[in-house]
Amino acid sequence: MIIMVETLLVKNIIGYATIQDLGRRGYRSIGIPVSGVLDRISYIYSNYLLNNNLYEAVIEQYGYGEYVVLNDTIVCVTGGARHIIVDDNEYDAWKPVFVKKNSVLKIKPDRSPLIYIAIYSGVKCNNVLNSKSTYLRAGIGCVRNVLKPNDIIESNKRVDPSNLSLLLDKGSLINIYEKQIPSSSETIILRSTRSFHSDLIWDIDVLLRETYYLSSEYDRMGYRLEGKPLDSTRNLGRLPSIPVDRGFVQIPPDGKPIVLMSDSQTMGGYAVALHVLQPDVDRLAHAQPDQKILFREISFSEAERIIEKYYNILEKPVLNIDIYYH
Amino acid sequence: MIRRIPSGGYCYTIEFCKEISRDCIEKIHRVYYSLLNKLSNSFEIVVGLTALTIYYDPRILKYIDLDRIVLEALEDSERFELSFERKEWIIPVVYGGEFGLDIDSVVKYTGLTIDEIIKYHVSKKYLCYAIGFTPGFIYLGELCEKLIVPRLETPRLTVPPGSIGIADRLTGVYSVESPGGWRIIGRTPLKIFDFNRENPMPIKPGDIVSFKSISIEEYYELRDVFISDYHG
Repeated sequence: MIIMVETLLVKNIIGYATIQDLGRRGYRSIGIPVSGVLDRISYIYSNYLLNNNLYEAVIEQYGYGEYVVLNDTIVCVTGGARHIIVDDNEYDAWKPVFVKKNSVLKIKPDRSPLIYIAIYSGVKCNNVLNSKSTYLRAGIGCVRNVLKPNDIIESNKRVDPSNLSLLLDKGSLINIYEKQIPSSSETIILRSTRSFHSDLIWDIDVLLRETYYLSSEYDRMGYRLEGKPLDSTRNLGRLPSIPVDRGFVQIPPDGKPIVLMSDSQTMGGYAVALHVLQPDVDRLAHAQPDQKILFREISFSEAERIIEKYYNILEKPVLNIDIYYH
Repeated sequence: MIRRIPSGGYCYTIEFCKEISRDCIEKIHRVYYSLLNKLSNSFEIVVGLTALTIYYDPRILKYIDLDRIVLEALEDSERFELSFERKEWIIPVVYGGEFGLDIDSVVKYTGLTIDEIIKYHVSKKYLCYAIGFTPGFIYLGELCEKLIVPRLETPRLTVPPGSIGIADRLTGVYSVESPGGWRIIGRTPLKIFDFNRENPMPIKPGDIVSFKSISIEEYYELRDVFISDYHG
């Protein structure tokens, strides 16, 4: 029997919101981007705190959003929100909150505009190529577009009220919020390894020394940075397209870096200077225009160790994640 | 000189050559299919025009161990012939007119007539070099010398799905709507890429693709037929 529960009605979004999960794996060889959430850590914890399956789809909201609750549910908001407002009452984010039918949720950015809203039992919709993630550029996903007013978000199961205390037992993880979400005055450090064209970019030291700033051009595909341009790429012309991925730092002929994000194309013809580690891409996703950004080189074996830890957390989140940040 | 470049803690790229060439891409394909046999599904391998990349999980295999497997695959590829079956595909195309957005500029660059452009474009069997950048974009080579033209100075923001483009020594198929800078000479009515299918893109690197000139009437008859269901 297929159950679905109409759970949230989208009332208003300022910015944009899409349905996302961890993305599509295994299709890069035919040109399909992985897509998926921009901040995987915030995403995983939204499901984890709700006792959901970890990889359920959620709403990725960039900006402000208002929703009407159509059926009793529990929500867990993570990412850049510190609070959620349910009918004019304020509750902590990074914590499951039981919300009754007909109440209105208002979710606004605090530290950053990038916010995750998980609902009890997960967003229900059909997989496309094993994922519910929305890839806007090709209209791929169970919802093929951004969420609009009057869209209805369905979930997989109803909340059993007798179970409620059990469902809310994980408590608050605002300590993760403090570490995971950079405030706009923080300089975001991007640990990176050398990459494909590092040898060709003779002035790569500039990139590793100077401070860069997020430009006003950034989206789910890439974040363009401002700052001292590199001269080395000016005359490289077009390079043969090679596979690229989230975290690749491309340097187009204008010399200004672009960090590829979750909707990264699968191949690119710009010089690739560095490869930013995935956990730091998660944090970069929260950057705001003019925010300071520094690249810091690390060795490849150190990168492997960090990625191992990262994959472990994404598969088995723990309440005390201090170890993950050190 | 083959370069092996690990990056980001989960990514391993092999650069085979600096310039795109038929020899180089055939070597990449041999190594690609050899690696597909050697590595499980938890590895993702992507073919580029001068390189291939393996995305791996360092908890399953460290770079050092992967490197050993790659070196083996490189050696195998020297000794053995291609270990996969090439499929052949025919793509019907309406050239010029409203579908060949840039054919006039190709006439100008090459000094050929439209009929000659069509003749040279359909006269070759192309090798599928790689797939990607956007879902299902097919890189095909090599183009007849007479048809070599530069990319558009300013790329288009949207190229209609099914568009057939040429640029430098390659020709390509825009399987879905996307931005693009290749000169568009025609359009196929076929659906080349369908993400509602389990296998959304049946054409693979190493396959052979040729084009066939069709009329507008045939275009409308064949509209949205999936590539696997078309037999020329």
